[in-house]
Amino acid sequence: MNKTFNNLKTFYHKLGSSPWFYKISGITIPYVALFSFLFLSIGIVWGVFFSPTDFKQGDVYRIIYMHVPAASVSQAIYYTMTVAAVVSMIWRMKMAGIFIKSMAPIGASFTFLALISGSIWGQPTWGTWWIWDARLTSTLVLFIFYIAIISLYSSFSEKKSADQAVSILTLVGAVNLPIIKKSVDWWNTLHQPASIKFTESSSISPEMLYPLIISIFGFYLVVLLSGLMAMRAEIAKREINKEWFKNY
Amino acid sequence: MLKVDNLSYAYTDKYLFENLNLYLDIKTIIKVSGSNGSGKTTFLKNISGILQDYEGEILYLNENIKDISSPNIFYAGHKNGFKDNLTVGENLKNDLRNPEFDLDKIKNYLNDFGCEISFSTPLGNYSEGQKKKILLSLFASVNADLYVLDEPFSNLDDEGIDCLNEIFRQKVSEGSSIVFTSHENQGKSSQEINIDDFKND
Amino acid sequence: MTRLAKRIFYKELVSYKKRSSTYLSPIVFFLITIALYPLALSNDPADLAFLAPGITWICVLLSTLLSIQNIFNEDFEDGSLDIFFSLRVSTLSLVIVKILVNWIFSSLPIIILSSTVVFLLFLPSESLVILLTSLLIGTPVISLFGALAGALSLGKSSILGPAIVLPLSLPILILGTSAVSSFLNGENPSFYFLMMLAIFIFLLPLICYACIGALRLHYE
Repeated sequence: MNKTFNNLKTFYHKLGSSPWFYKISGITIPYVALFSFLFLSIGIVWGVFFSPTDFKQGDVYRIIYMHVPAASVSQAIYYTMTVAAVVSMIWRMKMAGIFIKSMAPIGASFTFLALISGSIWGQPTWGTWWIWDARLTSTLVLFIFYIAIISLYSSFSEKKSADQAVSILTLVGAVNLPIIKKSVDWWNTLHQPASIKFTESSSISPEMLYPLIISIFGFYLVVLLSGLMAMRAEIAKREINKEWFKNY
Repeated sequence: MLKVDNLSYAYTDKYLFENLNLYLDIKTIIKVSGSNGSGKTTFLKNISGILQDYEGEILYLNENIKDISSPNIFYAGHKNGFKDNLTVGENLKNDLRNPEFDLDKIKNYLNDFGCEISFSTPLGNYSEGQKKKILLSLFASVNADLYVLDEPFSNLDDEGIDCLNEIFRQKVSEGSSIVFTSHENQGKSSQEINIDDFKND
Repeated sequence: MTRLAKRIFYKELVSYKKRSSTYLSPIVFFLITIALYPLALSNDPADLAFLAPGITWICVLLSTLLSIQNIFNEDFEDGSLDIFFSLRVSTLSLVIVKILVNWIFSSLPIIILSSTVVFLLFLPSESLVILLTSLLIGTPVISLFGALAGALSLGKSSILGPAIVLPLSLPILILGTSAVSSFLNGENPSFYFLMMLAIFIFLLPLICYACIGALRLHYE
């Protein structure tokens, strides 16, 4: 028990060290790339070509193999950025700041992908490219926040200050996003648009579920891959004049 | 009064100055010189508590400057902290460095500087040199233990320079200390420190 | 309030009062944007009456945003902020005083002026009090968000103001307009007022401390 706790503590301290992270990420990136390619290709190919046609939606539903993972990943990235923001503000850990800076563009891209794929799915399925319900509106707001974070980071010349600034912004967003989502949701229950009713696809058959899960795994691995590569690049940018980097 | 211990300041990964040591006694005038962009203003901001992310220690009256609640320090930076659209009187009266509003005292100092200033004219109507004299008259009328002035002699005519040196002398005889930066050899000081000496290139 | 905080308050008051653009610009902006809606949408009184609460709220939101995002910029540029920090002024007092004075000079006139939408947008006159109350409670929250945006992007003009304030103000916007429309439907709007008040009380300390942290970042 004590041993695992000590191991965790050492791991946590190591995470905060750029040289250690640079070394480890360099080793693991090829494997992550391999597995992400595997999962992604299996999931997408299975889902797009080999899963059964949906009774209600026909073949167009297959876009969920891209849309659902993208949406899931876009939210997850923001959660991890929130944790990193807390770490960055309380313990001033440089790696946490590097994490936020690297993940924001990745989060923005996948949120954008989720929005676009959702629109494409919505048109033939429910007859509309967009609807102002809680989910779509809060995804759009999430996208705006990612852009704001990227823009704020670039406006600082001193990296330490930039890290703190985006941490503040990330936290403010994290506190307010649930409030925004709840209030739009509640507003929609008052003003139910008569023609369109969005229902969750309630039960999904296993033949559709398995490729979806594999796809989701694949997307998470792609995010991990891009995250590792982006963080390595940022570490390189920041530590370029340090001894350990020159001797790497 | 002021003890600076191994002060180093880094800006975007490069050190402006490193391991700067200084001891400032009471009744002392210290001139901080250095080339353009060497870090003179940054150093002054470190002493006054404006920039607090330095390495090393700064002790004011033996207390860490970061922990002091209301130090009796007067800071006049490169920007004068005045608002152009307010009148001279409003600017001086509401300036936070001025604990009491003594109109006559400031007017007297302005006369010493050889300035004709009306307190009810907007500050923006005056030239840079006149604004400087107004700022320096405020400096002259305030009682502080430590005065930190950034480029006080810039924009001053000869009359102003002599007057300012006289005010420096007066302040010091009353027991205060002054730290100021200057490019040229205008200010009379008892000690001089050059920031370029603390660079590590 | 400490003596220094009182002096900051007084200095802000004088500074705002002297520059008439602080209260005139928001008024002009508000009236112009109100005018855009009937011209672009429809000048039928029935249509406008239905849209009036929403249009008013949007115009107040945009006008408030315009005036508050530069809240700290002037002091940053003329060196007053340096002096604040050198005097160890409680940054909390500074932030609260600045937001308060800005709200008094920029938001309050707009709120009073928004009574004119009874004529301009044919707002049902019985709902005017509800609209004004919703604005009174809701605009301080918008000011908080605007101050944070201003503190983060100190000295630079950036998209951060609208990008932060507008999405974050969505709940307030929804609650404010719903207060009026629910009243027009015969319900009691006090639920919405209490929710907005709760959001304000919840966010006030959080956002103030975020502002303080953000201001400090520019002195590093």
